[in-house]
Amino acid sequence: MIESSRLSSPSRSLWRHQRDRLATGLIAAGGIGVVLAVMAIGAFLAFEVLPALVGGGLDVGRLRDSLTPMAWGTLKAALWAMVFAIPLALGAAMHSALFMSQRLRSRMKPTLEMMEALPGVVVGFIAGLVLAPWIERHLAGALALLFLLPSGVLLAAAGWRRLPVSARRHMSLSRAGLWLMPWLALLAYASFALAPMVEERLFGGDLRFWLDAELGLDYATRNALIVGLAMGFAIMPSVYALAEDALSGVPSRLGEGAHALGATRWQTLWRVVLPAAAPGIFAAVMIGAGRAVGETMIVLMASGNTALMSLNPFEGMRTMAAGIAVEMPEAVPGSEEYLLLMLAALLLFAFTFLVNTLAEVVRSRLRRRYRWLGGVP
Amino acid sequence: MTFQGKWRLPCACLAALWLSLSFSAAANEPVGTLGMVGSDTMAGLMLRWGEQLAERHPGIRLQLQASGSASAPPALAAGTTRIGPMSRSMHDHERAAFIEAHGYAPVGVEVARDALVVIVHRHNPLEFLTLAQVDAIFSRTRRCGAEHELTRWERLGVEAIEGRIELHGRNPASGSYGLFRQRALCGGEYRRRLNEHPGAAAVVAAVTESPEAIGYAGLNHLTPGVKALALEADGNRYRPDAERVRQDDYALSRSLYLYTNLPPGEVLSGPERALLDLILSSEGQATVTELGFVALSDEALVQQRRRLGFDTPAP
Amino acid sequence: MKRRIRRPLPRSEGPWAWLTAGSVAVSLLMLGGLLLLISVRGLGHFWPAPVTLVELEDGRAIAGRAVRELPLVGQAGSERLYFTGNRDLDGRVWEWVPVSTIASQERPVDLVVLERRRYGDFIGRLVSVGPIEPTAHPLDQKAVWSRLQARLQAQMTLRDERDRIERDTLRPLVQRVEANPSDREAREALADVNETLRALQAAMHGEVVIIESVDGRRLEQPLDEVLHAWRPNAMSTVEKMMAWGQGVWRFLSEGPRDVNASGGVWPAIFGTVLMVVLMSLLVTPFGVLAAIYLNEVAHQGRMIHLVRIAVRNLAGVPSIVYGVFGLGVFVYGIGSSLDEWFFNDALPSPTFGTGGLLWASLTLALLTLPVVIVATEEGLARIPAEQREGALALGATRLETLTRVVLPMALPAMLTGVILAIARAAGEVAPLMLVGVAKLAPQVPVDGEFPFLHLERKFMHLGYHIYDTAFHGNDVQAALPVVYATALLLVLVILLLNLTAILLRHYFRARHGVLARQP
Repeated sequence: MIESSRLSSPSRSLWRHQRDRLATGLIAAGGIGVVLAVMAIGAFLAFEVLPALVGGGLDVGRLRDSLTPMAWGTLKAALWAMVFAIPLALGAAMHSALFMSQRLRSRMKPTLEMMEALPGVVVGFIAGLVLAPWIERHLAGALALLFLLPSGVLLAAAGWRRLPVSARRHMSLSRAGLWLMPWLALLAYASFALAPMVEERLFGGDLRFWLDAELGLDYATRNALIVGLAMGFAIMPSVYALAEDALSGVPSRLGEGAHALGATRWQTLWRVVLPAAAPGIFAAVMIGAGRAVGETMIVLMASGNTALMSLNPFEGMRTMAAGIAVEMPEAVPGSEEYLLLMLAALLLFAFTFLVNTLAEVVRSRLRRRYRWLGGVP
Repeated sequence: MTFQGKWRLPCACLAALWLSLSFSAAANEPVGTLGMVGSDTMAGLMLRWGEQLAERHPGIRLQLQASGSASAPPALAAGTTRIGPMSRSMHDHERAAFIEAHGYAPVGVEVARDALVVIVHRHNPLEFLTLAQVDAIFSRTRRCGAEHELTRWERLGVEAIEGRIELHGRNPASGSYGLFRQRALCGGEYRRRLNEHPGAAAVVAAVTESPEAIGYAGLNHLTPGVKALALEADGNRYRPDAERVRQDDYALSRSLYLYTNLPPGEVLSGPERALLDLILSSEGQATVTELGFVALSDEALVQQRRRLGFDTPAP
Repeated sequence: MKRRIRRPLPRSEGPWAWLTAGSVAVSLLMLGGLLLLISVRGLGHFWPAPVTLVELEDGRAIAGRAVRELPLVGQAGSERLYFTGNRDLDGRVWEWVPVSTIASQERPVDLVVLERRRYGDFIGRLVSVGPIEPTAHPLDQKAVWSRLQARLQAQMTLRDERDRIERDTLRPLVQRVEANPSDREAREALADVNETLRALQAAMHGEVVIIESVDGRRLEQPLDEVLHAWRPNAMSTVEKMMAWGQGVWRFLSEGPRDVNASGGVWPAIFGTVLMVVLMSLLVTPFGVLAAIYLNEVAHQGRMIHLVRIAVRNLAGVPSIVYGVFGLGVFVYGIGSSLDEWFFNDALPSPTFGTGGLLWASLTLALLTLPVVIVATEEGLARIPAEQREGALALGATRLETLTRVVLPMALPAMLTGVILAIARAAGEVAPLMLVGVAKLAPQVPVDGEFPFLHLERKFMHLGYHIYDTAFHGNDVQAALPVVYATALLLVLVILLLNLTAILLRHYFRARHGVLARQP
C-alpha cells in the first residue's frame, strides 16, 4: 500500500489494470490448461488404441475371444448390482423425501453419504472372503431372506394398525425406517436359523445340490449374487442421494395440492411427485449404472474372475475393470495384451462418459422444468 | 582444465593405490547396498535373508524390487543389478541377451526347491490324481491324453463329495499359471470355468471354504485347511513332501534360483559373496524351511558352494 | 420448503409406503452390520484371547485359541479351528478338531504365549530361563515367569542400544564409505562399530529360554527372537485392557512382519497420508484455478456449458481408467523420458519410468480434480452477485474483486471440495495398483538422505495393504485379523475426513445463508 501510493495516480491505475489483464489471462490459460488435461484422458486412450484397431494391429479373433466375456461380465455384474441397489435406493429416497420428518431426514442423508465413502476394497474384502463362503453355507436362508424381508415389513404394517393410537403415534410411519430395524434383524436371524430344517424337507438336504440336480444351475462360491449384493451396497448411496434430490426438489405446491384434494401421501407420491421427478430418478439410476460398470476392487475380490458367459446368478464373471487392474501392471507396453487392456479402458471410459452425459442432460432439463413449475430448483 | 589434465594421471594412481591399500585393510568387512530385482514368490525369502545378513554384517543393506521373475534377466544383462532372484530358470533368449551384453553366461545358483501342489478340501477323501486326470479336470484341450473331461466328483470315484468340480487357479500374469499350464496341462488351455485368483493365498482360502473345490498353489501356502494330493506319473505315486520335491519326483517341482553376474575365473566378493555364503549355509537353508519351501540337499549345497569358489565348507 | 403437514394421518398409506420404510431399514441394517463386523473383528484382534488346553479322545493334547467353527461336510456335528502356533515343532499353525472328539477342555493359568520374530507365535509352558538347573526341580512357574519378564526387559534395552548405534553411528559411516570407498578412517571406524554391534548381538544371542509344548516336546528358544510374552489365562481384565492398548499402539507404530501377516501398518499409514498430502497440494491450486476460470473469467456461453458438463462427467469415469491413463502417460510417457534425460546411467532399471509416489499422487490428483472443481464452482456460484458488483462499483479491478472479495467467501467451499477429494483419494486402490503402490516398502519415502523426499520410490498404502494381505499373503486365515484391523483403520480415517467435510459444509452453508439474505 505504501509503495503503491508513491506512484502517481494515472500510472498506478495503469499498472493495476495491466496486472488485472495479465492475471485474468493467466487464470484463463491455466483454467483452459487444466480442463484440457482432464479431457486428455479420452484423447489419450483413443490415440493409443484406435491406430492399432484400424490398422489391423489387433487380431480380431483374439479380440473377440478375450474381450467378449469381459464385456459380458461387466454388464452382468452391473445388472445384478442394479437389481439390489434400485429397490433399496429408490425406496429409501421416497421414504426420506416424503415420509420422514425434516429432522430425521437431515440425519439420514449424511449417514448414507458416509456409506458411500466406504472404500471399495473394504466392501470387496468382506464380500469375497467373509460373505461369499458364508452365503455358500447358508444359501437357503439367504434366498429366503429375499422374500421374508418384504413380507416381514408388510406383516409389521398389518400389526401396526392394530396397535393403540398412542403407540401408533410413538412408532409412526415416518420413523418406521428405524423401528423396523430390530424386527427385520430378528427375522433375518430366524431365517438363517430355520433354513436348514426347510432345506431338509423340501430340497433333500442341500439347496445347492438341488439346484444342480433339478435346474442344472451350477453354484460357484464367488458369484454374481455376491458381487451384486456388495456392489449394490456400494452404489446404493449415490443413487439414493441423487434420487432424493430429485424427489425433494419437486415444487412443494404440487404435493400440497394433491393433499388438499384428499390424497394420501403415497397417492401423492405415486401420482404427482414421482411423475414430476421421473427424469431425475432416471438420471440417478444411470449414474449408478455408470459406477457399477467401473467398480474395480469389489469385483476383483468377489467375482471369482471366471471367463464365463451365462446369465446364471450363481456363477462368477470377469469384468473389464478387474481385468485391467490385475493384468495391466505385467503387460509390456505396445504388446497385444496391452492394447487389448487399453481398448477395455477406452470402452469403459466411453460407456461411463456417455451414460453420465445422458444423465446430466436429463437432470438439467429437469431443473428447468422445476423452475418453470415455480419451485426452487 | 589444465589443472585437471596435468594432475589427472598422478591423482588416479594415488587413488588406485589408496583404494587397494584400504581394501586390503578392511576387505573383510563387506559394506553397501545390495540391490536386487526379480521374483515375487521369493520376496519373503529374500527379505528374511536380508535381515539375517544385516545381523551378520551390519553394514549391508538390502533393497528388493519384487515385480516378477521376468524382470530379473533384463536388469542383470544391463548390469543394474548383480543378483536376480528367479522362480524359474532363464529362458534361452534371456540368457542370450545376457551373453551378448557381457560376453559370458550368467551363473544361476540354485538356492531352494519349491513345488506347485494340487489341493482339495480337507474332507475330500481323494488321495491322488494322475497327470492325465489333472489335465482332464483343469483343461478343455486334454493334451495329456485323457479321454473324457472330468467335471463331476462322482466321475473320479469320490462318493462323499457331490456335485460339480469347482476349479481354482491363478491369473495369467503369474508364473504359476504358466508353469501349471506347461507341466500339468501339457501346454493346453485352461477351462473357462476356472476361478482366476489374484494370489495363491486366495486359492488356498477358496479351497478351504468349499468341499467341491480343487486348485493349485505353491508349497509355502499350504495350510491344514486343504489337503495336498499325490501325483501319479509313470506308475509311481509321489506326495509333495520335502524329499520328493528335492529329488524332482513330484511332477510339479521347481527350483528357485539366484542369478549372478560373475565373470569366468573370478570369485564373488563383497556383499554378494556374503549373501550367497549365508544362503548356502545351514542357517540360510533353515530359513527356507521356516518359510515353507524345501531346503537343498547337503550334496547340492556343497556342490553349489564349490561352484562359487567358497573354500569353506557349509557350516 | 417442506412444511410439517405430516402429522400421522388417520388414513392408511397402503403397503408400498411401508415397503419404502423397509428399504431404509434394510440399508441401515446392512451399513450397521458391516461397520459392526469390522469394528468387532478389527478391535478384537488386539485382545489377549484365552488359550484352551484341549485333550482329545485319542489322548493327544493341543493348546490354542479357538478361531472358528464349521459344520462337518456330509455328516452331523461340527469341527473347530484352533490356532496352535508352534510352526517350528508342527510345521503348521492350525489344527482342525472335530468337536465330538474333544474329551476335555480347560484353561490352565501357566500357559504362555510368546510372540517371536521367527516361526510366529509359540503356545505352551515355560520350563526355565537359561539352561536347566537340575537342582531347581520342581519348577516354580511364578519364579520362572518373573525371570523371563526381567530377561525380556534386559533384551529390550540391548535391542534399543543396538538400534541406536546402528542409526547414529553405523549408517553415517556406511554412507561415507559408500560415497568414498577409499576413506580409510571411516572404514576403520566402521570395523570398530561392527565389532561393538556383534558383541551386542552375541550378548543377545547367548540367552535361551527352554519352552515346552503341551504334549511335552522341548525347545531351546533364543531369547532375542522373543518379542513379547504373556499368560492370557492368568491376566486380569485390567491387565488385558492394558495389553490391548499396547497392541493397538504397536499396530499403529510398527512396521509389518511375516510378509505383512503380522506386525503393524506404520509404513502404510505414512504412505497413505504422504500420498494424500501430495495429492491435495497438487489438486487444490489447479482445481481452484479451473473453477475460477469456468465461473468468473470465461464467457458463459454454450461452449462453457458443455465443458462444465464434461468436467462433471469425468467425476463418474471409473478410477481404473485414470489408473490406465497414469500408467500410459505419466509412467511410460513422461517417466521414461525423464529417465532418458536425467537418470541415463541407471537405465534400464527405471527411476521415474516405473510407478512411484509422484505418479500416484498425480493420478489421484487428476481423479479428484472434478470433485474440487465442482465444489469450488458451487461455492463461487453461491456468492451473491451484489458482492462482486459492489466491489467493482468501488473501483476495484477484477483481480482485486476476485482476491479480496470472492475468494475469501468461496474459501469454505474450496475446503469442502478438497476434503471430499481427500476422502475419495484415501479410499481409492485400483488406480494405485497401476502407478506405484508396493506390497512391502520398508523404507518410507522420507528419510535423512538427500533430497529427503523420494518421489520416485514406491510406497505402501492402507487400502492396498488390505487387498494384498488378504490375497497375496502366505496364509489368509492368519492374516485376517490384520486385514480387519487395517480395514477398520482405513474406514475410520475416511469417515473422519467425510465428517469434517459434512460439518464444514453445514456450518458454512448456514453462514452463507445469512449473507445471502442481507442485501
